Amino acid sequence: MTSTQHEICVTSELANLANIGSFVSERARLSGMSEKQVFHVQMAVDEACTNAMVHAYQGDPEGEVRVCCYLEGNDFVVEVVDQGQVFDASSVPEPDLGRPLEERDIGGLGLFFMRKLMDSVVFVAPHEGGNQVIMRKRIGGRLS
Amino acid sequence: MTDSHQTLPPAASIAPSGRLDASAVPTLERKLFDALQAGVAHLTIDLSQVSYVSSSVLRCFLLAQRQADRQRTHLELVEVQPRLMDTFELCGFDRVLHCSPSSVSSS
Repeated sequence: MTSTQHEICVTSELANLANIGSFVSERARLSGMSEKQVFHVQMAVDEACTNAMVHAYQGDPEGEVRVCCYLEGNDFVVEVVDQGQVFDASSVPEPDLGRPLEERDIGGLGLFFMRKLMDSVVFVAPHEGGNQVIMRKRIGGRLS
Repeated sequence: MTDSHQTLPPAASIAPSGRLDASAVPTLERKLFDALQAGVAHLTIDLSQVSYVSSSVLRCFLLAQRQADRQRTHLELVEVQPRLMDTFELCGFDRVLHCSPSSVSSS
């Protein structure tokens, strides 16, 4: 069963990341998550929204980023939607965290955190264009 | 983000505060690399007032550490809050950056 959806819609300015973080943290807290889980959810959403602003909109601050939260069963679900250029997450290699400092590739960390901190991360390419990321976290689940 | 930046050659310290997401990177990067360019022997980043760091900021720390290693500046992150230390450990940054946890326990 899906609960009421709560949504925030902002322009693609990096300055809006803090507002999104506050919104998502509040919704996650109200769902009954621990503070640690709330922190993880807001970090994963921050990374997804940063990807939308930096990669999908390529820094154009006039795009639109929509973040929607709801409960589905025991899952807290967050969707991040943009209308920017299609972002192929599968083309981003996973960072090799065991490499020495000088040999480390500095990309891919945002996706790494999203996948590590959430129970499920799915990238969808909507027919109308843009990107949709659907992330789920089980309330009281792992990393709680 | 607010910042205090004090340069006392041969040491310098930077003390950002608040939430450090991607919007904080340009200012943070400039302050870090200005301090490194000044050729200090020891650069401290005090994170006691920082509640959050995103991957963009971690990349910034990583680049600064690389530069510091090249020029033999000792770069150190101090007073790292427990939740931030968890983030560092999750991505293995605790093994490549010199970081020490907060001396004040959080509730």
